[in-house]
Amino acid sequence: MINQCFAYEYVYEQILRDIENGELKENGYLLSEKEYCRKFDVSLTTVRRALERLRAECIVEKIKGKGTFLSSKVRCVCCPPNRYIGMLVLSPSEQNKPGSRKTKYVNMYAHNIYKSIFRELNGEYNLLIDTIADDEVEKRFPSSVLSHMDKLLLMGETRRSVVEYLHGQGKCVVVYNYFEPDVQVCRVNNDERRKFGEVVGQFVKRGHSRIACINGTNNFSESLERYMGYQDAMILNDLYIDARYVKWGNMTPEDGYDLTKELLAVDPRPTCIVCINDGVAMGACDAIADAGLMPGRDVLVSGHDNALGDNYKYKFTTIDPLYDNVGKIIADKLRRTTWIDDETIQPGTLIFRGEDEEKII
Amino acid sequence: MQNDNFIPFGFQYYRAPTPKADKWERDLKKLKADGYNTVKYWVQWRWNNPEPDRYDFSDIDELMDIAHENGLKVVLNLILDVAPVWLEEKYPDVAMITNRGERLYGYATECRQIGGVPGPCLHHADATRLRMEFIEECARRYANHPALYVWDVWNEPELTVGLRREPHVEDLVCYCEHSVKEFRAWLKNKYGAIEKLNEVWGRNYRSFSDCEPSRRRGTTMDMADWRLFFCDTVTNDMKLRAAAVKKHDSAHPVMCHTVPPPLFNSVTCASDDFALSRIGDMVGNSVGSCSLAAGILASAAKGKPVINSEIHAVPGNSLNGFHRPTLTDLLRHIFIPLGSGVRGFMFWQYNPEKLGLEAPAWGNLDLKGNSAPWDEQLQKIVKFVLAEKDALAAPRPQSARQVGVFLDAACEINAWNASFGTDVYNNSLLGGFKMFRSSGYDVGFFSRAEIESGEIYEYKVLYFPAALCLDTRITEKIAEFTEAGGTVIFEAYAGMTDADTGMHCEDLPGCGLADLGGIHVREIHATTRIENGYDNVLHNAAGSHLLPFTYKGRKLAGAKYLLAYNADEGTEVIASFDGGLPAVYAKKSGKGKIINVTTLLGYGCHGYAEANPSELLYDLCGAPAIEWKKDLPYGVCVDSVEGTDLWVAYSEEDRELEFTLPWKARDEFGTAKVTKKGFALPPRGIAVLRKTQ
Repeated sequence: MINQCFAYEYVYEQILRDIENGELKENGYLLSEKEYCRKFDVSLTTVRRALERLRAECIVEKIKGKGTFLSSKVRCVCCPPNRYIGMLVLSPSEQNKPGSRKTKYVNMYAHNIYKSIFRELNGEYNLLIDTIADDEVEKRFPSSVLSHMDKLLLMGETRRSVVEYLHGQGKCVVVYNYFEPDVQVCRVNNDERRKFGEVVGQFVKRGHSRIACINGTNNFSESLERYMGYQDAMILNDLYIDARYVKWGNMTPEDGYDLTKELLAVDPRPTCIVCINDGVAMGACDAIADAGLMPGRDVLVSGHDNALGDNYKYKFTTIDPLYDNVGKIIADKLRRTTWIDDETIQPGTLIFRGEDEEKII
Repeated sequence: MQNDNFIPFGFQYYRAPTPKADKWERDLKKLKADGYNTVKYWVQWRWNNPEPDRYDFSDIDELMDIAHENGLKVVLNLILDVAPVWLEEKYPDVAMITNRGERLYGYATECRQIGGVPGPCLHHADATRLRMEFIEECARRYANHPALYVWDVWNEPELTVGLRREPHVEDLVCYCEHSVKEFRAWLKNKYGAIEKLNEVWGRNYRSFSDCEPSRRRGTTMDMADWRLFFCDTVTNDMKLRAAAVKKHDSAHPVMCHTVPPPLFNSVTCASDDFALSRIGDMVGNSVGSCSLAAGILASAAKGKPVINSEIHAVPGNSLNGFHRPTLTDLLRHIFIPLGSGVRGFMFWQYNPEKLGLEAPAWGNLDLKGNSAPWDEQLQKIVKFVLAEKDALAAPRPQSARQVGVFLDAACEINAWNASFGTDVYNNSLLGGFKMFRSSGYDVGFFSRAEIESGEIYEYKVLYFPAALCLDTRITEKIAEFTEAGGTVIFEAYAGMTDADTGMHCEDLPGCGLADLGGIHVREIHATTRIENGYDNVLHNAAGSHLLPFTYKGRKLAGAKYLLAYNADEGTEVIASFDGGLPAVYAKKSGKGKIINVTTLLGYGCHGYAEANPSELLYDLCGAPAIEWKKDLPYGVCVDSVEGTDLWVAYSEEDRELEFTLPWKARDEFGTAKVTKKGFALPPRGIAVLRKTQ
């Protein structure tokens, strides 16, 4: 789950496991620092670093003189094997159109995560998988099997109201790639902001400064997170963010196509386009080609998801979220019996693709 | 949206012009007094929109009020396949046209006595606008009526309302100019470039405007596309209907009720349960009293509420009379679906029909309005179920659906096209489902969309009956599924046609499945064409389509085709025919495995009364999730009624079957025989068992 490079990380993992297994003192108190030193045969500094990390993640709280205890974020839940786990892909209702390229695109990433979770859970749990418009969750929840899922994984365009509603129903929820601040929920995220910044950095490194961005919907936290990565890197590199270079769309290949046409009409036209995902990047490449330019040479394009590998007819850079790892982390969280609304970050991998260049960064 | 613990239990009541108005008050009072809670009314376009700009809902108004006064909830079923007479006057090109050039318009039938069948072509834009205006008018009018329960916006979606349901190529619809124009746009959307279509169809069209709808069997993907286009048409029409209601009423649920395969086929009916179920808030079906129908619907519903919308308990016609349902019949209508998660029951119909050839059948009353002899038993069942309503209506997950069966329009169309019949696909589907159900597995269904989306990961085993038309993307997804630990079983001819190239594959199983499964076709044999004397299996099968073999002493059978393969190293033979020819191959693939059956196993087990494939399935797929079901005799299904301590035991076999449960139980309706071992079900019997210890 987490790289075990340092002793404190090992201790952190072990204490976390103790918490998950309910191995605590009365009233949710953890062992004392000295007891942990003895238990793991490590120094007091190591134990304190581990506990500090747990505290920073709001998994434990500390009262001077009393000790360390589980925070209110941590709940005990019972989900033994053979119980039910619901996995939902959420999308705004107006986009939930079967058969569109959007749907097929979304399905590619969801498929990879399902596969990984299925493999990790080894058939121990029953999975219910559905794609649902976000505004239907509340409507359907009381009268559908969703209400009897023991745990729920949410993916796609998850809004705060959906998370809050499900929490209100007492559900244990894991959300993938959810960046809404101030919402207490178990998250598994990629390092989206950093990676989008790195993409811009790579373009700058190759001498580009006219870097445009096609984002997703601006009320969707994942989309904002990625845009902020773009923004960070532009500022860091002393580049002016031209408002004409920033577009907001619906994350579909069709939008990628239409918005790229608008970008190409700007004078001077951008030489790079950072797209919210590979679907938008596909549409962007098509528009660039239709304008008589060569994607990957005349205009560099980037996406996210590594959904197509290098199988698309045009080269574009992408970020691989490493779905196998993501699925494994999610599976670990879904199967645990002590629920913690914590966050785990899975770093993605940047795969740079240009006309004559392909490398993993 | 209604969220209380309401379980609809009632009848279709009104299909204008029957019953007559003087019976309404009397009947609905009685219906309520007898313990039922819901009625269904048809609101018919032809009847309630008699002139272009005039609606007449006086009958429905009165019926809605009577229902409300009597505390009954109403399913409003909007019937658009009865086009008004004025429509054709206004738009002479509105009719559907069959392949032979016949205009289908204005028929009166036994189930649409007012005429207007099959309604306009679904691609006629003006007719569609008018149909949606009718729906909107209904929605505006009844959105706030306190009796309204649900909008059922399509009764048994299909193209011709039974006029041309049999899949004869000359009867296919619709070849009118509007459909052909839409088809070309659909092809452009599917293929993008004409060159791609030319490759798949084997043509040299200059542009999409050259494309011709298929008119005879003999080629492959042009026919598949032509019929799949109509599946999308029906689905898109359902979307329009649902949206038209939602424009004026977002409070009440919207649904349609389908007819499951094999009764409705993809070739002529074009009704895709999975696609249609994604649209509404609830789902329902007609003739949904068997476990296959209930299983398809529950799988397609994806957790939405499911009702058995049209129970055909008293079928018949004028000269043949009607079937009088027994207690066993009634229990099967209610409890088999209940065990599959269905939570609503509407019978067809309350009053017997008096107009047309459906008279004097179908009623729960006699012709004079008195209760029919079986009504007392039905009332008992209703009371019994409604006594459990709090536990029942609370949604529960389905039992662990361990096995998913592939349900696919393209494969069905392809099998029909290739075999000149419907038996290859239908029998394989029916038998494939039955094999697992009768062996104690909980079985669901999945479509091509679930393979794409990854929703197949709900299942641990996937079964592909007669999956003749696949593509390499599916093979890739299957490889991933097995790599992650799943088991996949294919029958003979899997992936014969590659939908991406339109070609018969060079190796079988096709679309890359040969390499995945570690087998490569050597020879192909058919029971209808015995040319090769080296194996006695086919000679034994002469005159029959069945190809029996044994596995661990149990008899089972394939059917029709027998493919001989060369096996790769690492591919294991699991079962063989008497002559030694392999019947089942298995190969490990990642954490899971891929199984190839060399014949149509589902078809064989469907048709062979002595077949018992349970041992083979346990060895291939592991024990059922509820392990004690392994000890039930083949053919006895025992389902939990989730949320209660009730279990439903039923038999699909024509012989008495004795079984033992791991706990004590009481037979609530006394339909099983109590024996020393436990219970015995009579042929095709059913028992409702309450766990007592």
